[in-house]
Amino acid sequence: MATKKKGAKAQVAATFIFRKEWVFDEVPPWLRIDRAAWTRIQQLKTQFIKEVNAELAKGQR
Amino acid sequence: MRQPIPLRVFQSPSAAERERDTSRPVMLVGFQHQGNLGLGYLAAVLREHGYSVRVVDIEQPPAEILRIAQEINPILIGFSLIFQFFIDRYAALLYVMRVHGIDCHFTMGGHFPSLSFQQTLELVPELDSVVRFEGEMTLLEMSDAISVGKDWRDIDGIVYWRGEEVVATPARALVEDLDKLPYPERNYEPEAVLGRSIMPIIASRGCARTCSFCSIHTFYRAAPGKIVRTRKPAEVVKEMKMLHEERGITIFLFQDDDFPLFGTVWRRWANEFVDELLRSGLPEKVIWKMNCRADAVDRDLFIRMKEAGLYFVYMGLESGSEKGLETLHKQITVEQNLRAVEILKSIDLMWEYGFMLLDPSSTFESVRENLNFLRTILADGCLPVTFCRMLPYDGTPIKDELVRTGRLRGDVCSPDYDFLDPRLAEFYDGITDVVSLQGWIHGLEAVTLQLSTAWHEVAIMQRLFPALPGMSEYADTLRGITRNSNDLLLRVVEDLSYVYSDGRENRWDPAKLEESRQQVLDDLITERDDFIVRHQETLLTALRLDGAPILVEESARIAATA
Repeated sequence: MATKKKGAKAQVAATFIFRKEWVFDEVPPWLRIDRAAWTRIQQLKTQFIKEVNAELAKGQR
Repeated sequence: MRQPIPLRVFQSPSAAERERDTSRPVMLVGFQHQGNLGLGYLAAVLREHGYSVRVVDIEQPPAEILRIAQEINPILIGFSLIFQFFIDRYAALLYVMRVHGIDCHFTMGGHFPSLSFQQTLELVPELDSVVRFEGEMTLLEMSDAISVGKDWRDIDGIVYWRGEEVVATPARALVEDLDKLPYPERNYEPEAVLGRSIMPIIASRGCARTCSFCSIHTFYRAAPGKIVRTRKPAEVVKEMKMLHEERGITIFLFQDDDFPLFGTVWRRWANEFVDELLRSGLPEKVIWKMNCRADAVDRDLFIRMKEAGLYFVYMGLESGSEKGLETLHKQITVEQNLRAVEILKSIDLMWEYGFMLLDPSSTFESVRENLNFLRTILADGCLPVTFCRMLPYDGTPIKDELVRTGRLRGDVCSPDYDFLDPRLAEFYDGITDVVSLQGWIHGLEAVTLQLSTAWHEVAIMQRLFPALPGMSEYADTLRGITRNSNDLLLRVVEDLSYVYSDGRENRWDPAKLEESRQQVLDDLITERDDFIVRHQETLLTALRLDGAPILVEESARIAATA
């Protein structure tokens, strides 16, 4: 690993600011959050749909 | 219900003859990052026929999108869905807009809506219709009909609900002659890197290949008409010249599905394109990047293209294992992938790649084969490591295969599948923590993204600025940082593979890995800043000489503090 340099940070003109976002590709939302949390959200979503469908079925009877 | 789609044999009145009322605008909503050529072409065609068009970025807050719709009162809003996993986001936006009284026609287009139209209509019930395949002519015809109160339901290329039933009208043929389309609307400030402005452009539409994980070919094959259409080389160069002269664009990003290079016909096309560029004098002033397959990389052709301004090549390598390439139906060998990399390195042309570490056929052995492949091509630190897991998107042959074998999991927003070896799922979760959550590969703060940006900058400085003393030393330093980062990440992933396959102990401490990641970024930013500051005056002078826009000078800290 290259050694970290000490001393004052360089001052870069606005035109030359490091613009990392220009090559940025959108990633699926599940890559942004914890996989366990994502799995839990999916379970809750499935559960919610099940409950709504059960309520609707009750209403239709 | 899916219905057979008959081809229509008669033609509707031509666009020029059709009645329309253009007093109200059309609104288009979609992702605008790096420019959205799809929306740009739609807007240009509508504008050519008298409509005013408002293109809105989906990244804006929903309240702002709603405010714009309320203010301009459009006859129609077209939503462009380019990533199926964002359909929830669109569904929520459309719901909010309807609740707040936006009652104009809502339609949606894109790969997913075109191929999975029934699902789209079910997931986004506020939609009045879906426009399938290339939408320029369909959206115009639909706007015309709605603007004068005519029935839009008999227009070709759309899908809509009729009671409980989904009706698909005959599919509209793909645009035969791309040069008959107006230039895409680009009413936005172009992005800039090192003061050099960037613009997306296309030379062709369609892809002749049949990769199993990709829906591009199924999109084009499902619609009538020729699958791959190329523009005339002279027309592409004319558009580049116009953008250079009128907007000061010096970096062009070709967004073709597969840049026309492969086989006799397209190789001839590419050579003609190079001839046109050389005749135009543009290669002195502009550079361009394109996407291609590894088997299209030919030494002589690429030397010519480099002379004509090609500065970066993206290749979908996808796998370093023969089994993986076969599963992905890449119709290419590992040897061909390696050969392409070798050629690009030998002619000193920068490149980047797409890679799927995991696919439905993966085993721990194939994962290690892939890691070895990455080690081989990246050993010199020319590029950062990047990879992802193959995802089974709608409209792809591999998704159908996973359905058939009962291995498909998840839903439209988070498509997933069972591996043949269930331990691979745990391994995937393990590496997700490292490469995604800890920011090595995915996300704006990721090491890979920042190293890639630095390498792009090097290519741009080498091609669009005067020779800078110390450039080769800077490139060597960058190579060293990249190599060290690659070595570490590949070691971590390989070790993790043994943790999950053989039950070895995990020797990687997340806190120490995070420290190493920070160190890579610190080293990168420090070296990069030092180099830029040393040459700032030369760079600014070059920009001034070319009349490039220069931001108001203010001392600024760079990305590390952003």
